[in-house]
Amino acid sequence: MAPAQSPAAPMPADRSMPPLLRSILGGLVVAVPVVVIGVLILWLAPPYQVRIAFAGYVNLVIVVGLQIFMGNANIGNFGHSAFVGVGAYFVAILATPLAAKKLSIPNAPFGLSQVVLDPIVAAVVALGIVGVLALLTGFIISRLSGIAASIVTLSLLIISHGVFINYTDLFKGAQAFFGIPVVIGLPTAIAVAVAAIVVARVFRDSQDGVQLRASADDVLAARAFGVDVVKLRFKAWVLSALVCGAAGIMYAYFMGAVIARAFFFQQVFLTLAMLILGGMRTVSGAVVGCAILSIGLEAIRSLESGATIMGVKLPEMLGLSGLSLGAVIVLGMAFRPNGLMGRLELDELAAGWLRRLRRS
Amino acid sequence: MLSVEQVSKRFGGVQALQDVTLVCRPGEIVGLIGPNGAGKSSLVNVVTGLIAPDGGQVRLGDRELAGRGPEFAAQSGVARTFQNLRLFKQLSVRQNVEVALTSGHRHRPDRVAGLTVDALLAQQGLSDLAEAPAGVLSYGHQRRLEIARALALGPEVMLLDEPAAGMNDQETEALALTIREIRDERSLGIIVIDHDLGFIMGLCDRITVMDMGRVVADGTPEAIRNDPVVIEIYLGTVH
Repeated sequence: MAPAQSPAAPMPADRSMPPLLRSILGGLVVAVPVVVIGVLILWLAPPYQVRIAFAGYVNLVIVVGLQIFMGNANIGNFGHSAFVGVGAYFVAILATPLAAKKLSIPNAPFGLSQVVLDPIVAAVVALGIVGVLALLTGFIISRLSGIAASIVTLSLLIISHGVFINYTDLFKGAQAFFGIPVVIGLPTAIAVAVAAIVVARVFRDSQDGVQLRASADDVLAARAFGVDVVKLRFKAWVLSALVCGAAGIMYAYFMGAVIARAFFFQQVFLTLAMLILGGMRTVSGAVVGCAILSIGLEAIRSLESGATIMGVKLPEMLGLSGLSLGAVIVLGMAFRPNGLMGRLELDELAAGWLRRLRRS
Repeated sequence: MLSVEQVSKRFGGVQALQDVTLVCRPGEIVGLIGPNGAGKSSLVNVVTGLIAPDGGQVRLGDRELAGRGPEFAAQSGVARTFQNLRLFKQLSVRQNVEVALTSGHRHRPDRVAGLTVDALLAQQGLSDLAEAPAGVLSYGHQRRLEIARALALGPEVMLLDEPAAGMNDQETEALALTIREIRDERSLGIIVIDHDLGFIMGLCDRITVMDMGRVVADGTPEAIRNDPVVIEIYLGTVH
């Protein structure tokens, strides 16, 4: 359970500041550790760790995207990796140089094997395609609730994976689609992560965000007070998909290759576990969950291959990271369904502590 | 003015409402009473748009509400409180009121002009708790927050579903005072459903009695108190 706020000691809030500015500043406060960790990695870490960190930042953007819909609407979402995949594949299709395309997708439809766009233009087009797919799927999902909605998101994942695997002329099937121009590095990933955090925070604090969270608490009461639940779910779904699509684009432009299995169950459960651990009601929860699980899983992976600790050689423990991930989801749901952060953002918690400190 | 005309609703083999007619004028407090299963809740659900009637009309002014959903009813000026306090528990007290203030005014912006969250909270004595999550408030505070949230809609008609449930005599008296103040200040039509007959008789200008899905009596508290049909089907079972 979230730490209960005593009604006698309510949370303070600086109401003198315009709400939008308050949300942007709040988002930036939450993003501070994201920037600090990123700068330290750039400064101190060897290249292979930078690569691992980059994957962590891609996951962070996905988890923040997931929070926008799942956290505010309180609907389980298993389909977000479909949008990550669409973003990644479409920049691959549009921005990969012709020479590489001749090897990867020589029979691509609509003359796409002959098209090469500037990476930025390709990213915009890919995001546009993600947006169109989000509009189409959102039309259905926003009208559903609970298990029905979650099952549809799961179906979306299965469908997208099926298309990536079987439409070989366009997506190169189960093989890696390589040759994508590598045009970004960790600094860009950090910047995109900060932008995603601020966008998610502004939406959460907005009129739409508050109304959607009201419907997550009690959909009947929200409707009885005039909240257009379908419209708000639709908005959150599309925004969430765009952020996830941006994560996919980042992934493709850093890795230089994409493969369908990267956007399937493993990514879905990893990012879900991160959100559940941190707490889906806040953007801070997404950030905290992603940070803890990214660092924790790296430590666990080093144990998997049989680490030596204080002279003692441990046996190989293959599958330990998968087991840990499952344990985080099960234990998190059982003992702390609201996650580590509960209902308050980091900056709101800090403001509360400061106020209490001043009082005492 | 809210007018319910000849409304009927059947659930499977049960006739929940049969040709129900009810009027609530601005500035009037109408009590709705009846034994369990009389159709009171079904009527509230029809008026607030949660269920569509099989026949009949529900009009607020010149706007037809029947079958158009709860969002439309709310945006047209019908507010309600719930018997089981359906607050947005994870939102703050302030946000609970904000939700109603920002979503309910679509068809009647004039009704919310000048309304502010701070003023509504102050009126209900909740200013100091504005940033607390609604879920941790005491029962009495939650009841007051429900009223503040309903008023934030800028309603023309307010339906209070068992507002005195769980309250002691003193709290019930204070609640009656609050309801009268709201009526006087905003010239609202208020429909109150409650099992506490003393509370209803003392508060309401007019009382409608339902039984088996039908309106069986309608009149002043004095007339209802002495109505032999009412005594037989309802009050008679109490004494």
